[in-house]
Amino acid sequence: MTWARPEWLGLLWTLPVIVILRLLVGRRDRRIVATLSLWRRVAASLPLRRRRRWWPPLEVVGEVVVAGTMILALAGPVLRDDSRPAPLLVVVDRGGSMEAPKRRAEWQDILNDLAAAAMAEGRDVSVRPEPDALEPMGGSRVGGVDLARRLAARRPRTPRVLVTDRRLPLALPESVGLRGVRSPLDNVGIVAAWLDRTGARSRLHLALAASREGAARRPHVRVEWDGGARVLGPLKPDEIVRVFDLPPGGAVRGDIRLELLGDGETAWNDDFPADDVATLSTPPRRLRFLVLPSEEAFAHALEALGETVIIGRDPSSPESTFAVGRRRPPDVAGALLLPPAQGGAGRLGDVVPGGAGALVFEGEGLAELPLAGLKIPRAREVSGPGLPLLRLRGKTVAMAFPHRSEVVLGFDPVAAAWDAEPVFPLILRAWLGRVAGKRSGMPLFVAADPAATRAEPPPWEDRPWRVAAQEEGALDAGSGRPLDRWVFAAATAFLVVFGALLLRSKTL
Amino acid sequence: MKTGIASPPGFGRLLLVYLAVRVVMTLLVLLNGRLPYGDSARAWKVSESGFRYRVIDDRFLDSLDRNDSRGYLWIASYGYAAGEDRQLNTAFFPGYALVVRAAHDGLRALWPGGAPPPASREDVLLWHHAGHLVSVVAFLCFLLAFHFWCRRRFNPEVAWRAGLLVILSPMGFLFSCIMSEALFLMTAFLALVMAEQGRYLKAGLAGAAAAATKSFGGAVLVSLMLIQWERAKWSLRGWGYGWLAFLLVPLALLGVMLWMAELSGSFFHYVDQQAYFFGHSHFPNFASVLDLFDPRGKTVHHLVRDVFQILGLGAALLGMAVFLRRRPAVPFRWAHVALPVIVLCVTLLAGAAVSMARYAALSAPAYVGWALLLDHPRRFRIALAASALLQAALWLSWMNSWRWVV
Repeated sequence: MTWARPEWLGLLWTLPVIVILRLLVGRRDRRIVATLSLWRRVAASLPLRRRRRWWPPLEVVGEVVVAGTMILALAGPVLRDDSRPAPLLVVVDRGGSMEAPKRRAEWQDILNDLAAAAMAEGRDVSVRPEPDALEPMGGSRVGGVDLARRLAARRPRTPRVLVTDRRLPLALPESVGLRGVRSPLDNVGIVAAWLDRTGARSRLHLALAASREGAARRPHVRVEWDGGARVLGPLKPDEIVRVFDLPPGGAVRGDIRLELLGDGETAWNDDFPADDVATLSTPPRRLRFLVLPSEEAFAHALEALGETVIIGRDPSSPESTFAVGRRRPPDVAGALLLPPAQGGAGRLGDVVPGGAGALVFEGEGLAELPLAGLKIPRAREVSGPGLPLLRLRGKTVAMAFPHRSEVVLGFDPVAAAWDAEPVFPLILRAWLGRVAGKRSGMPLFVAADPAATRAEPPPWEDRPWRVAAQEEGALDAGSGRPLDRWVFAAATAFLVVFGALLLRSKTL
Repeated sequence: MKTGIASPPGFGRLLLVYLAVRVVMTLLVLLNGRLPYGDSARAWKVSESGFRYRVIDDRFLDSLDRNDSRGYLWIASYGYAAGEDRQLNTAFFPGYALVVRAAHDGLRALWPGGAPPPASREDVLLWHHAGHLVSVVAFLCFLLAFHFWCRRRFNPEVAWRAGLLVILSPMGFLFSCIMSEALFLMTAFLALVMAEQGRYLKAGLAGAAAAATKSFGGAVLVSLMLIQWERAKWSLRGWGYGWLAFLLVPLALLGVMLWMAELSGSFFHYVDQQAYFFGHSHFPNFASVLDLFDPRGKTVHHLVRDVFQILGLGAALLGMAVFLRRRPAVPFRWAHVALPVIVLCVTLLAGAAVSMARYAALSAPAYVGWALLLDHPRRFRIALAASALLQAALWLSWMNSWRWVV
């Protein structure tokens, strides 16, 4: 006998705890009566007396039996079958470009190949994730890779294969097999968009990306807002962001919908339609950020995006100290701290020398944007219990602290001439968005997975799964005779009988 | 007090009303036609905030899957995931998701003819069935307990009216959706009822379940302590040791926080995630309270939404005031009111004013208060009809993601 879902077995510890607590705590009903002898006579005449005597111990037994069988059923008992080898666990990365029809067809063929290979060895095949309808929140390439990593730790003796089109190196054990999905995709998609709302005007910034096969295509973009629409293009993907007035002479209110089009009227057609539409939601109210120390460039960059900036004149002034701490005025959404500002959540450390190509942007979206031209001459390392935003030569030089609503930079972006870059407001907004709340109504769209839009095939080579001699005979769900159906049925029956007895014994 | 009904109907009739409401909800889904995330020729949709949604091949289940539903289903199926390129989705407490996972395993095991084949339609929708089942069963358990509690504390008339108000309240549809509200309502209410009866362990366990379901579930402890205090005639003597079982509530809260700390390295990771996903980073956020009541600069959409939040809050407070002022006084009334009041205050001060109507619907004593207030049959029928119509409108708003309220 073994278990398909042994993580539930930990709940069995609750059973002795329940019994012990019942014995210790018990149930004592305190009733105040005027005359004890009279009360005893009345109680003796009650027909329920016998039942009340045996019910309390039976109730404890019933609770333990119902809870115990339910836990055992959840743990998935499986009757062991040593004559069969362990099943093959195939984990499919179900996000982003894996759902493009071409790649979907390819990985389904790979699944058939793996199933045939496993069956030739007498193995069953189990494909995960099971919940086919579910998509990871916020990101799209997490499901398969994360699941494979966790299953590798949880079931080290089960032969496993990961099927993915992910480009990044995978920190998986050598025993985990890899099958790459490499169908080329002819694709262009929207990866970033934001509004510059300086004064009464609204200007749209837009970034498109394309796969290698789609790089030569020139789509149009239909921009639709409350009260108007406009078609832009043809646009060249994989270049720096383009800027357009939208609409001429007025500010945009409400949501803005972006959609790729063919020649301005016909629908856009490529191999991965999920990134052909995007929506920018404009905020109902303006956010206010504190910037320490004062920098006009930041004020302009933030105001352009619709936020109001509060200038902290001096990092050591009482006003600034008051604002950076936990007692910040409640209408301030967050703070941006630049060196040499102190007093925030982060700590500034050693100087890190800069250089070209040494920057790595962390977090969703930014890593895939055209930011290769950005450089930092030097920075100071930032440490603390926050989320890394930017690494320079492996050291964190920008960090977000959501619990304090602060972003701490270990360098001065203005000194590094970032304020002249068109993407600077986007970077700033994305970083401040990490502390101001993802749903704070930012006029910003960054695709959850720009890597899926580029759809580059994985550079690594396929490798088979490995099974050591001692791994044979290890059991997983599906390689024995599952019993959970019967145990669940028994647990349900116990529950119904116990519930009926409970209702009959006492009223709520 | 005349109601026009000779003998007030019992729980069976309430069950029939609930079934009828579910039928009407289903009909509205069918009549509504195409939904924003379903019935699309494309395999994926992208929401306003950039999330990708998979189309669900079942219009009714799709209509139940809005707002936080996807987060709960994700935790139920994958657990709290930590990837190198994303944050943990620990903005949600795990109680409901764990029960959904258990229900999913049960459904899979008990599915007629064996577990549905992988990638079949049934297999795809099994998680949604599980989430739906947990919510419906939890709500019916609450309704059962609430009905008999009202019968005992008041009379069958009040129990019948309060039950109808729960089912047909404007936000009543939420108790059938794939959300944790129904489970929280059931566990929190059962905890108080069990404590009233001196069943300390059961009260502690139910309270712990409530604390693991919603972050503000820890407030159940306050109500449990108030019950114990009142049982001891408002004295600190004679408490005994039974009340120690109530400490399971903070223990459950601590367990959830430690679990998240193990995953993230930060004990307050839940707070960070609330700040990141929902912008609740300035507790106590008095500015958001003022903003709720300030109409300046709001679009019509936001104005309507905020007015509804205020109405929801006002209705809950009025109902609870009537409940408190009822003569003869209801035993343990302060404990029953304390929990929803704390929930509403925390919601307001966390900057989550847009969830006010949703959490006002969790105020069980408010339903009793309104049942007492609407003791005239005609007034009650008019109020009930208005509430039912509002529920239908909000249900349409919910399924179409118009976001007029939630």
